[in-house]
Amino acid sequence: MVAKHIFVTGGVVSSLGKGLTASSLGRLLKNRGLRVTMQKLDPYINVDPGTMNPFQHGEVFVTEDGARPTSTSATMSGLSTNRCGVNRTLRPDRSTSRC
Amino acid sequence: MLAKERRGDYLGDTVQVIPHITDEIKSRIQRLATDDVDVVITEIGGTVGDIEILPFLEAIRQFRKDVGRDNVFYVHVTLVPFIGPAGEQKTKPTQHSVTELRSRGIQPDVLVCRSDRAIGEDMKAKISRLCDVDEAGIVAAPDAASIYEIPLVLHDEGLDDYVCQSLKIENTHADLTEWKTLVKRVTSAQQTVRIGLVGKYVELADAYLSVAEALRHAGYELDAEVEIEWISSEDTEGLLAEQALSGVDGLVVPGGFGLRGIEGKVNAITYAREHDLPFLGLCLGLQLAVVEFARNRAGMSGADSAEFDDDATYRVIDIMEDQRGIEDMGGTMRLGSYPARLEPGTKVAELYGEPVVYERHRHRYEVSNKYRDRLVDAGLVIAGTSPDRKLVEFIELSTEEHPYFVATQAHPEFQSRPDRPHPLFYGLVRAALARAHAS
Repeated sequence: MVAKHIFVTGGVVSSLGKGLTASSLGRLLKNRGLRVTMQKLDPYINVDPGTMNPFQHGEVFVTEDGARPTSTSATMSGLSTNRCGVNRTLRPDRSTSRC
Repeated sequence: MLAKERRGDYLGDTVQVIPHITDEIKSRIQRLATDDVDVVITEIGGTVGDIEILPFLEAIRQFRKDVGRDNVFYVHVTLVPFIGPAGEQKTKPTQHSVTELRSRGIQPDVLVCRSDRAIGEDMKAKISRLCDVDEAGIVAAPDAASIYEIPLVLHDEGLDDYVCQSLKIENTHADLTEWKTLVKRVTSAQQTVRIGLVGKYVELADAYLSVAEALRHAGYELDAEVEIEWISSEDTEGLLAEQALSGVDGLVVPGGFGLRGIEGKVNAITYAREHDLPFLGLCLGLQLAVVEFARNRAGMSGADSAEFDDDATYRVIDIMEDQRGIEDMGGTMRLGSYPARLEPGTKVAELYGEPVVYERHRHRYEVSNKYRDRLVDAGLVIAGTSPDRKLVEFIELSTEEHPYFVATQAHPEFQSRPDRPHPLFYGLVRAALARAHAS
């Protein structure tokens, strides 16, 4: 099977639970026997959230490969996938040499 | 991309948001679609309508064209607020948000409608009509008592069926038996236990989300509801520690950076050590436990971490050798998963039940090897180190001295799962329960 892609966007206000929706859906698909992976694309200019203030973005989550997404999607990642290190925060201008 | 441009990879092209940035985004999305993956879920941060999000929306719009209609599915999460005076739920914000998304060329396949109360069938029909989304694609997601109930709520709304049908994924059935058992355990705990969490950012609980969840996961396994007492490290300085901590059954000092509140954390650890209060230190929590032990048990008065006092007589925590000379703050720490070898017979080894464990790290400073022997002679147990024995990964106090005093340089909270609590958190909550029962 060709990999299927699901994109999750949010409207109206932030902190609606996009990450929870995405990871809960991941868990449901996983329980249907599908192999699911997940990532978050965050539009900010920091190279990664490692130096960001937890007051603004919540905890800095550390994955196995050292990529660091923020916020709830990562902490629920156990719901969607046990393949650690696939949670990635990507930005358009991040140098390709990093990953 | 800036590095690419400087290297000349673009061969003199004008580097632009479209196509260069959008192409880069698409290639990052595609990269996850490896042979061993059936479904890639990509969450786009921020809110539709933000300026920053535009290249991302453009990229995912093009993506459907690139890989085919049947292979891409758009989920849009939106808000259906209840307006008190009018006494009704409003669909207008959802309509506007969908209009905005469409103006970027994306027609959502599913609307997940967040609300503080149930959304009726009439309301769903209205949203379906106004936003041009199938009624089966309107998913009501009212606030849930526990986040672990959300998969069940979405399943009851038919979300996974609808997704599979639309993406032409062979229809299998979701087996949720185990998950339901977990949710039941989450909601039916018979006892409570109070754990104090001392930190700098306690006003914002999200800053310690994984630590809090890891504590709760351990509680589920032990049939106990973990109540977390959020304690600001400025409220445990000096004599305040006793007052702040006398009501809790266990203590966690999680990771952190910066000088503010450090002494409060050290004082809290002293209280825990002297009063048999079960203690778990994480990352900075381990470093401060070592500082505390050095000062009050190993006769190294004024001991400190080089991070906070570079002139201290005893810098028991010092910068790692390979970190010297690095000036950039971003992306330069010891980061990601590293192995550790555990010392047989220690509490930590017993809890893990394995001789070699992998934990995730994020740090620049470490226990200084200069003072290791002195600390060990004074009674500190080094329960685990890096395989070359150079870095201290776990410390503890012997059972004769303390019921549960354990700390790790790593961040074990990131590997805890609701159905698979982490051994060190399990150990802490178990010890805290024992203390609660005894008193």
